[in-house]
Amino acid sequence: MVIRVSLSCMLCLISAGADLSRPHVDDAADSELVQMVVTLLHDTDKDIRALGLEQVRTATKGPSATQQFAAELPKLPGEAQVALLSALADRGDAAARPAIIDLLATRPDEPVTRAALAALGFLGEPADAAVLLHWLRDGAPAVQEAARASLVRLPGDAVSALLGAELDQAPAALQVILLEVLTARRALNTLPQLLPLAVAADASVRGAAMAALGQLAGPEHIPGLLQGVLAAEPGRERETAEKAVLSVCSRIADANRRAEPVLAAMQELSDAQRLNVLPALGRVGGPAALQAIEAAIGQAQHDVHDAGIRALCNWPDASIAPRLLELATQDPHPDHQIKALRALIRVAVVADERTDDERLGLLRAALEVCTRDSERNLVLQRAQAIRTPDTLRFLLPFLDQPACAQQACQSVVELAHHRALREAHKAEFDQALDKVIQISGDATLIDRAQRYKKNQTWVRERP
Amino acid sequence: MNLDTLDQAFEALKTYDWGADGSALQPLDEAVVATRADAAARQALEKRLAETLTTGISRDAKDVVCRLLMVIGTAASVPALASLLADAELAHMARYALERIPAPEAAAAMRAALPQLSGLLRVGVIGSLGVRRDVESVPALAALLDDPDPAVACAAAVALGAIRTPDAAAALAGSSVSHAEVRRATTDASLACAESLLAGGQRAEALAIYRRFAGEDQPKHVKLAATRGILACAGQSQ
Repeated sequence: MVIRVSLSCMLCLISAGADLSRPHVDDAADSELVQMVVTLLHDTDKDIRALGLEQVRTATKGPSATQQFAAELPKLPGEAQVALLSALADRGDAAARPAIIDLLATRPDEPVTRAALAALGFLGEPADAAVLLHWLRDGAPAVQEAARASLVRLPGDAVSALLGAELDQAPAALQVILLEVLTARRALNTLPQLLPLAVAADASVRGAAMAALGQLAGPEHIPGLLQGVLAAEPGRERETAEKAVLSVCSRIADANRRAEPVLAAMQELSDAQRLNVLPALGRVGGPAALQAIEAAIGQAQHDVHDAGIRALCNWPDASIAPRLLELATQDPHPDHQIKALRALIRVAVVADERTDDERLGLLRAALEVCTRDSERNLVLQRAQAIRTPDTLRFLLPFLDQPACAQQACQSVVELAHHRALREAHKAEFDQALDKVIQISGDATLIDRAQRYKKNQTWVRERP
Repeated sequence: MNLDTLDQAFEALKTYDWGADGSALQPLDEAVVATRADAAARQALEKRLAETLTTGISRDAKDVVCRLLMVIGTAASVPALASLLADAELAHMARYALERIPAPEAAAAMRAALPQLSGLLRVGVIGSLGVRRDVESVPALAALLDDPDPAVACAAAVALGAIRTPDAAAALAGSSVSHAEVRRATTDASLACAESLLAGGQRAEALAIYRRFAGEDQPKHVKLAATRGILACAGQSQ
């Protein structure tokens, strides 16, 4: 039995070794401890092995002991190798690194490779980025993930530079991963390599590049980001790209000057391009942006007017609510009226310095100009964000309107979800929840209503 | 301290029993606090309390007195408290006080009571000697390791493990226990002694114990503990 052998060996070591009670034989005792730990590492019983691993993690400091522990790696079975690699990583002594590199060179089993790559993240040096990159390129998915995590962790600008250089020649899938790694590394020195990828042929690369630029870029990179916006397919990709521009501009401390880099960059664009980036300008907001957007709205040319409307509808706050209300009722184009109305409903409840009453008042104003049930339902849905008893009272009449009743039910239940609000106005909520239970066609909603009536909790399922 | 109300409280103690109004005894608690800086008054209070233990007051009243003597008791209270050690209903409250009275007479009284006691009363006193970490009790406890009553032998082992001196460790090492439960208790106590010895810098002594329990004949969990101890011994020399 291996346990017996190991412990017997250990006892022999103790017996034959230094007198541990005498402080002047520390080196010898140190060596004894290392040998004992090595013996334990080879035990087939994982509980016994764990004793040795605990020592690897915490005891016998110094590179000599680390090297002796690491030297056992090739002699151990796979499961024990994985455990020792993890312990060496926790030990944090780079003296184990050469043994780990040697082990990887033997192309061990996947779990061992994974553990070795993970350990390199803690113990490696910049030169090991090439090894990690190799496994990121050619490894199985789990190995790639380990290499990716270690590339994020491995310190040094040289690592980022290597990854940045790899971007040029990597296939699209690898480019996306490298972009994510560089973003996580906050690799600002690679921005010159990142910017061209904002206009890459592959949509996934463009998306990853814009996400990276949104995190890392500064105002001076806005021209490049706008090229990314122009390259993005209209729809979700374009919106994400516009939000990356917003991210960069949001880091400008003076809110009134956030649009300046975008406006400056737009000067270098063609008329058609300017129209295409106008919605991005709208997301940034600010007085200068508003001026440019209003100028576009004022144009009779439909595509220019349309771009202006879309830009205004992206506005980040409720400051343009009166203008949106005006457009919702007076714009000559019905589709623009609808766009403005929906934007008004969106900004009405945005959290800012306005009171809940003011926000609800704006929603009421929006409701009055709604001509379709889809917008009315949008009003009812957005009302959930204003957690007051007045909102509940606002919603109640819609429970009796078939076209809006289901959305009203949803919003009432969402309001009731907030215990402090619900309990403070229990009678009103109970009455509303009874109505929901009576008319809702959604079993989950009915269950929630019943729970809230009984002061029970409900846990929202995570997507 | 109002002596009249204290007298009334002592009077109330004579008739105090389960469910009675405890506020009548409140002056006793107040007297404990009030005499903190007055040795003579504290001594007088202790004497009066101890005397009540030899009277016919109820079990609950004696319970109250034991709790008070736990706070203010000295060697003077020991005889009265020790007289309760053979009382199945009050022994635990007497030990509650005797465990905490700093005077060595408290431990001596419990040691002296050991031969007269049996069963759970004996186990209780053994446990109290362990709680006191009374080194003087090591020989007496060592002698009980092979008591025919396994509960007594286990309690002795546990107490020696709580005392944790080299003598306690030696006593445990010298025992030849066959009863499985007692062997488990002596093993646990020995490892506790080793831990204490190691913490005190007596590595060789600790190592000797750990080595004894790292052998093939030990259960796995004991071997694990002993191996961890051996590693700790080796590690401490760094």
